[in-house]
Amino acid sequence: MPVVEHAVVITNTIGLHARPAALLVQEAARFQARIQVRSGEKTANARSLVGVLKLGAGLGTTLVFQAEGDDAAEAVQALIALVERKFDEE
Amino acid sequence: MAEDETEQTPRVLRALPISPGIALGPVRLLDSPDKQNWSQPVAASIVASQLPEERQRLQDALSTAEQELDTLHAQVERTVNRDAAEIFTAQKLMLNDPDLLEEVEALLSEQLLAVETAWSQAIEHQSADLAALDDPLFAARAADVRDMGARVLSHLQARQHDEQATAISQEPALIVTYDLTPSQTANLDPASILGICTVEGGPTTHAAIIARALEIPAVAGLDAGVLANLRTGQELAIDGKRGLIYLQPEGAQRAELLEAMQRERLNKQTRDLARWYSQPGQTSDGQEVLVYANIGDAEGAQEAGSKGAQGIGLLRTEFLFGQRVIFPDEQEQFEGYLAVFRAFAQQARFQKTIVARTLDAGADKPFPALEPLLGNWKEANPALGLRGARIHLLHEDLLRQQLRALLRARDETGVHLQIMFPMIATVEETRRLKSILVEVQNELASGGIQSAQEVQVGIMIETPAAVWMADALAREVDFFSIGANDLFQYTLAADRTNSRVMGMFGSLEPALWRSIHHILQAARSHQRMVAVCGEIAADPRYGPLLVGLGVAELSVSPPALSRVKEALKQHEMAYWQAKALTLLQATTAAEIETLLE
Repeated sequence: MPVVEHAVVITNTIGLHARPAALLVQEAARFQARIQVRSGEKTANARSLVGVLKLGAGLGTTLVFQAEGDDAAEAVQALIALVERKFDEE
Repeated sequence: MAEDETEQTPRVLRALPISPGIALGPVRLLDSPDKQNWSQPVAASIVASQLPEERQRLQDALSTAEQELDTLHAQVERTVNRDAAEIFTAQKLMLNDPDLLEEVEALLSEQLLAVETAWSQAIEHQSADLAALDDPLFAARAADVRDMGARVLSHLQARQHDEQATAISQEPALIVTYDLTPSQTANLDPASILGICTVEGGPTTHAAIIARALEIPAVAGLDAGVLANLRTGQELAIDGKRGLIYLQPEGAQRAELLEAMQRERLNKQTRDLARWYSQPGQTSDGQEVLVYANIGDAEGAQEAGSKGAQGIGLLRTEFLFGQRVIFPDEQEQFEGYLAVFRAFAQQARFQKTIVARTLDAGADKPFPALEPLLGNWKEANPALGLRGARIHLLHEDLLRQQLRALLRARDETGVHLQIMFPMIATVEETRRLKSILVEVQNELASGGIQSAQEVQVGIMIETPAAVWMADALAREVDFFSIGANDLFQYTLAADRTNSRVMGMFGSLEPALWRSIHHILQAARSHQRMVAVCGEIAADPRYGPLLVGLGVAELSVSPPALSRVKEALKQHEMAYWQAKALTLLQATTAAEIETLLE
C-alpha cells in the first residue's frame, strides 16, 4: 500500500472551522485511502468532522496529511489543493 | 414600586450583546432540552444476543435524524439564508462521524451497554473534548454535537424531539431561556419573536447567527438566578447593541424603549422591501419569473425602475390624453413617450423592456378629446360599448399617429418596445390592427427608422371571446397579456365597481382560474408568452400560483414589486405548479379558499 505524506499551511482567516472543516471531511470521503491529518501533537481521521474540529487548527497552522491506499496520492493532492485554495472562501 | 425588594434588584442588567436592536415585550420562557433530558443517562446493559437488535435501532434512529436534518437544512435555507443552514450540513457529517460511530460500537459490543447509554456516553465524550478547546469558536461546536446527539437519542427513546413544542407560532414575545440549540432556533417562528435573551451563548453560536440574519435583537449572559425568578408574561426589554436587560421597565424608560423598537421595526420593513430591488423574480429553486410593473407616466416609470421592475408590462398610454380637449399630435405624443422611456431606462436595474398598450379609451375612462370625432358619447352600456381596439378600427388615423410616435420614441431611446392592443374580441380585429402596425413599420423603415421593424406585437385577453379563440389568436401575435380585472368582470358579468355585485370579486371564482388555464394551454401549444396584469398578479397568494399555472410574467404596480418577488421565493416551482393544478378541481370560491389555507 502506498503511503503519501505532505504538509500545508492554513491561510484562510477562520482556519479549519465550520464550513472549511466540513468541506475537508467531505473531500476526504471521496477517496478510498485511509487519511490522517496532523496538527502539532494531535492527529485526526480526516473523515471525522469532530476529530478535525478537535485539532483546533487556526490561521497559520501547519497541517500534515498522511494517506495510505491505492488513491493516496490523489487524496493528499486534493486535500492540499483545497487548503491552498482557502476552501474557495476568500 | 416603593417596596424594598424592588429597590434592591437593579432594574437594568449588563449582558453580552449578540444581535443589535431593541426589543420590549412579554417574556416567554422556553425549556432547554439540553439541560432537561440530556445529562446522566441511566447505565443500562444488554446481553450479547441483543446486539443485532440494538445496532438496528441505532441505524433507524440515525436515518430518521438524518432526514430531519435535511428538512431543517432546506427550511432554514429558505427562511433565513444559506450560511445559517450550513450548520445542519455539519450536524449531518457529525452524525456519520466514523470516530463517533466506532466509539458507540465499542461501547455496545465490548461493554454491552444499551444503545441509548452507549450513544449518550460517546456523544458526551466527543462534545466534552471539543468544548475543552481554548478557541471559543471551536468550542462552540460542542453544542452542535450535543444537539445532534439529543436528536438521535430522542428517536432511540421513541419520543418526539423537543423542538416540536417551540414550532407553534404564538403571540409576539421575548424568548428567555437557559440556552438555545440550533434545532430549537431553526424552529422558532421569527414573526412571533421580539427578541432572545439567554444565560448561555456567545456571538459565535448558531442561535446568534440566526438572530443576526433575521435581525432579531438578542443578548446572552443573563444571570441564572434572575432567570429562575422570571415568569412567562412578565415584561422585559433588551438592548442587543449595548448589551442591556431591562426588568419590567416603567414610565419614561418604557416609553423610550417602545419608541426605539417601533422605529427600528419600521426601518427594517423599508429595508426588507429594498432588499428585493436588485433581485430578479424567482422561485425558491431559482427558476426565474419576470416581475414587471404597470405604469402610467414618467414618474411611475422612474419608480418602477428604482424598485426593481424587470420591465414595464403595461404602459397605459392614456396619460397623454386624459382630460385633454384637443387630441395631442404625433410630435407631442412622441415627446411624452420619450420622457417615459428615458425615465425607465435611466433607473432600470434589469433589461429595458416596455410593453405599451395603445389607447384604451371608452368605458369608465372619459376622453373629451375624442368627442369631436366620435360625437355625443353616451352609451347605455359603456363597458360593452365603443372602447379600446374598437375605436382604433373606427379611426385608424389616430392609431397610426400613436404607433408612429411610439416607434419613433423607441428608436430614439433604444428601449425594447412591444406593442399591445386592448379589448380584443375577434381574430379579424387582431389581423386588421396588425396590418396597420405593419404598414406603419414599413413606412417608418423606408424613412430610415429601421428599428421600427423589431417590435413584437401582442394583445390583451380581456373578453371571454378572446379566451375561447386563444388558440387562433396565438397564431396571430407574439404574446398575450391577460387583463385580469376586465376579464373577470366580463366573465362573471359583474361590474367590479358596483357595490351590489362586487362581492363576487372577494375571493377567486373557479371560472376565472379555469379561464386563465384555458388561455395558457392555448398559448403553450403555440409557444407564446403569457403575462398577467391586474390586481390578481399582485396578490401574494395568487401571483405565484399564476406562475405555477404557466404565466411567465407578472405585471404589478411598482409598490407591489417586492411583495411579489418575496411571495415567489417561498416555494419551489414544482410546489406552485402542483398547487395551481389543484385549484382547477375546485367548483366553488369557498373550495379555492380552503385549498389556499
